[in-house]
Amino acid sequence: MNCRKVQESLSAYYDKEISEEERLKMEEHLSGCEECHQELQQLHTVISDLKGLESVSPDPSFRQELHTRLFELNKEASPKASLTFIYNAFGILKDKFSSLSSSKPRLIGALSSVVVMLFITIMLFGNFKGDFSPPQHNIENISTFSTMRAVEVDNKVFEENNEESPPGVGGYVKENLWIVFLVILGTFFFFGVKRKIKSKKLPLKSRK
Amino acid sequence: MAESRILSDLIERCRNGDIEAFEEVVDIFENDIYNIAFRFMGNHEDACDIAQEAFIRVYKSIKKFRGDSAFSTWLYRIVSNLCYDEMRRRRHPVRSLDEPIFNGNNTLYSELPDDGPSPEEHIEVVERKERIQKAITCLANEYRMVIILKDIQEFSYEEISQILKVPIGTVKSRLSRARAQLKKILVKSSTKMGGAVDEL
Repeated sequence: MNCRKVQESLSAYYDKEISEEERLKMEEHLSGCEECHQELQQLHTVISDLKGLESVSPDPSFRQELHTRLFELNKEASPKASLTFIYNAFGILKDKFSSLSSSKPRLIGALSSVVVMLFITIMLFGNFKGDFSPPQHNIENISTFSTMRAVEVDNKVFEENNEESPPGVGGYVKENLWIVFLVILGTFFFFGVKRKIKSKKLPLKSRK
Repeated sequence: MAESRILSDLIERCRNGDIEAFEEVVDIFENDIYNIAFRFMGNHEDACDIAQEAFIRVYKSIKKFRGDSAFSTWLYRIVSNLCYDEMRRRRHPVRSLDEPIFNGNNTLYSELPDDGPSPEEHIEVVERKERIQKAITCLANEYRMVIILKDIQEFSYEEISQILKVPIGTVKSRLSRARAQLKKILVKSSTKMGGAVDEL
């Protein structure tokens, strides 16, 4: 090892950031070379001087000023507080949805179906007055219904509904509507799962 | 730089706009941030401005902080960038990193900040520590920062590499050159004052 090479590596040697092999070579050179040894001494002095510099602290007015600025920032933001709340609420929903959709596509499929179902239920049952109890149905049968069948039943129900059925028939209509809704639920569930599987194959958006 | 549980809880509260939690974060980092800014800029006024700005920026963008790096790394990066920006804004003469700070004709004093009647007179009265501080501010920005982070704040090469977003090899070579230049500057100023070279 020549002097130039040693002096280039002196700083890393001082910080013990060189390989064992390199360290041994350097030490061998340093023990025999007065100039390089002196360089190391001077480096040590400089680093000790730097380490000896005391830590400076800001005076109390620093915190007061910062405190004021922070409160001003919050004040500026406050008129938008309600908007921010809505924005954050959507943000949370979005986060929850995306984390769920990546881990539990089936659950998302089912959830979206339930949302659509609820919507349709409100649309169709909105005009029904009085107590309404859902009839018991075997959910296993639902998967055998096709979309076509669902549409057929749907139309039939609509016709019956428009005829303004007498009180005795009302229960029958309600019962059929429940089958329709459960079929739609099944369909949505099916498509929900399919879509999530598809989207999983797409490359993930690269995060910054 | 692993974050403590307390700090991550505070950061979470800051995200919801909790100023009190943010001030607790300031308590933790205030001295380090101020110290970096002071050693880099060389005076309290600029250090105060930069440290304030750093905390305000952190407060404004803490919601966007995603934890890709440690919070402290992010904070130190913000303050180092603010220091660089401030120096750029002042249009200090841009020097190449490989170019020596001063040539054989002793241009050291002409590069010192002009804040006294005559640089020679001024440097004769400043104490050793002030002389070191002056020498730091004579270094190019990138050298100055790496010296402050390593030899004053005592970060590891790895941590500096993350803060400055440069490879460890770059940290190593910058530090080596920065220390060599600082040594030269101190030897020169010491000789100028009539001191022995060995004393630095």
